[in-house]
Amino acid sequence: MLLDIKNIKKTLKNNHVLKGIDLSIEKGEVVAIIGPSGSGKTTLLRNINFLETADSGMMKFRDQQIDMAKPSKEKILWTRRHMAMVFQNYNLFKNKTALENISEGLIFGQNMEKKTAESLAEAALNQVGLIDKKDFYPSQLSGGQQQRIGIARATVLNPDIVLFDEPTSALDPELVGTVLRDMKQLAEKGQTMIVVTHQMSFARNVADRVIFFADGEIIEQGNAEEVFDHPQNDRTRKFLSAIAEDY
Amino acid sequence: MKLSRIITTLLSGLPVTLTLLVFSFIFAAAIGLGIAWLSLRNSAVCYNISRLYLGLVRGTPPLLMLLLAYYGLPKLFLLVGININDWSKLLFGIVGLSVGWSGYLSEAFRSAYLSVDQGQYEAALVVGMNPSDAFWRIIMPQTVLIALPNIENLVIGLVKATSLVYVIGLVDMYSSATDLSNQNQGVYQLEIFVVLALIYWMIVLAIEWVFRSIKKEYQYVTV
Amino acid sequence: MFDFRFAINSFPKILSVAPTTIVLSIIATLIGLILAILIVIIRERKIKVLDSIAAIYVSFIRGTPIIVQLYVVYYGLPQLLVALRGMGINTNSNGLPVILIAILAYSFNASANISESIRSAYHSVDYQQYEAAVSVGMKPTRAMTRIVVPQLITNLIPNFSNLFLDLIKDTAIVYNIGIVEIMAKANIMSSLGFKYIETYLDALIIYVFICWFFAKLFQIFEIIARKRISHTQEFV
Repeated sequence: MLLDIKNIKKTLKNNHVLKGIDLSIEKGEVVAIIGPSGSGKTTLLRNINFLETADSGMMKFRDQQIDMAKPSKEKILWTRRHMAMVFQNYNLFKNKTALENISEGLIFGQNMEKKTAESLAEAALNQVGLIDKKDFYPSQLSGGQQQRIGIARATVLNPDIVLFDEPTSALDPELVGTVLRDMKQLAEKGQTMIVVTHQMSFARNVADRVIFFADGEIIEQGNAEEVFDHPQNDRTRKFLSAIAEDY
Repeated sequence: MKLSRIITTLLSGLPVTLTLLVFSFIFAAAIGLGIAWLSLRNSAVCYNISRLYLGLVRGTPPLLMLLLAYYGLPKLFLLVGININDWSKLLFGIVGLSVGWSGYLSEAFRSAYLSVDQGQYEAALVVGMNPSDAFWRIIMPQTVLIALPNIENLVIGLVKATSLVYVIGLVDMYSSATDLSNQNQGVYQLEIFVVLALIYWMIVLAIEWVFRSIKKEYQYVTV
Repeated sequence: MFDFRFAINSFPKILSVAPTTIVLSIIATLIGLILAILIVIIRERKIKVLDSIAAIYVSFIRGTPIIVQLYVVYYGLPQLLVALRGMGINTNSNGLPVILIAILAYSFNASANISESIRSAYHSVDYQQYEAAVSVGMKPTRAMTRIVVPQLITNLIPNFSNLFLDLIKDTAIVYNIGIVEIMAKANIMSSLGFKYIETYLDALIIYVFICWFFAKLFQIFEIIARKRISHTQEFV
């Protein structure tokens, strides 16, 4: 087991955002989390890398046992240096070029030499076909380009797990495809991923496991076929049929 | 009187004007950062102290601030047994202007800091930077760039405020102009002050040019 | 070493001239506002020649200390009047009241600063607001006065408030040409007793109170404007 979370709870303004969730992730697994907006999916991700602190919960990540309500500074930093995250709004550093966005984490998160970091960053840009944009600032790039650099920035760190927080939700429809393609390639390489998404095609075709999440709890989970084609729970069925009308 | 004589006399005060400008700005920025830091901490006490300071400093005319520094500071220091009466007037001028401008600068930093996207800090953390690297490499540069237009206005305001140091007897460009005008029993007064205005204008235009160049250099960061 | 009695006795005397400071500031700001509106119209309509002159005027005023501007008007106005008389226009340059000179200098100063604020408030109104107004059939001038200007005014108030407070503080130098306002009175009281810090602290209290009062007043204006004029609820 690479990541094992037990009974994580989080309350915001008397609102139970996470109601005691258990979640285990195997190495190499691709987990898609789907569910209605505001159900706590993003909060779950943000608690895993301590951008928010849970009220209670235990987490075992690799060989480290961490109290999610009282993580030490060292454990927070250690966790973040073994995980990476891709944001809905990309959050590329506005004052750094495409290349610097990718090398920054290597230099200041992993204490790598600048030269080595830059050549790794160039290789990562090459891989996503954006090497000609290496000296561009985020404001000069399209949303799709920014998000693909966001993914490169995360994966270049060689993390044990990459957390994706609705990576395609802010993109224009025609740009979604390129980003999903990058994510699929990553999954095929065996990268462990937790993906919060509204892209049902991705959840169905790429994910090893699909979790349906609503009102701060996991309603049901299983492989794509189980969840999409034979949902057991009424709420899952309602959600899936509501979405089907959209597409 | 020759124009060249007016110009050289006025320019003899330029070093004092520029010294006041540079040092007052540096100290004002340092104090301003401190006050901004105080007001952004999650503490009601710190916040109220910073508001009180801002209310006092921003409600005081710069001229009065200079006078208070010049006459008040020695008395204040004497209370703790230190005699600073023989400090140079330049020092009092710098203190008065620094305190006066610190309030404006702290507000410029504060509002710029608040307008930096929180996601920038989070992104720095999730790539494994420690909080202080995240602050100094990502948040601070963006804060300064966002604050730049305000800082430009404040620097220009400071250039103009240096002309007030005559009240504590410092001889800057403005003071040289009044001296010259008094020496001539009232002749050429208009010419002297028009030339003086033009010199200040040139300085301000030069400052605007510098800021324009910086903004152009970083045009893709601040959009 | 700090003479409280002197400070307290001086306070009402200094306070008694506060109206001079306030009235001078208000009149100069009002005249400045009118000039500023003219400047903005000239610059936004890009009227030939006048446009460039207005731009240079604004840059010059913003680039020079108010005390220098004050002296340029102080020495320049009489000379201008003499020159006009030379051209056959009946003017009298003798005995120009200094308050008139001060009002003129501060009005010029205010006009440049206010014009820049109006322009930035104008540019911050979404252009689509104007397009929407025209597209529902309003005449362009109507669209301006009914849709754009009300939004502009709410955007302008915070900046205008700052400029007005700056102007109040800038009037602390008019004692140089012989007008007795707060700073002048403080200086006079000081020289009577050779006690400086006492009267300057009195002046400080008065200035801080005046600034606090007007800042609050403008905040209230802003709230009212947002409710009545643009119906937006974002309070700054």
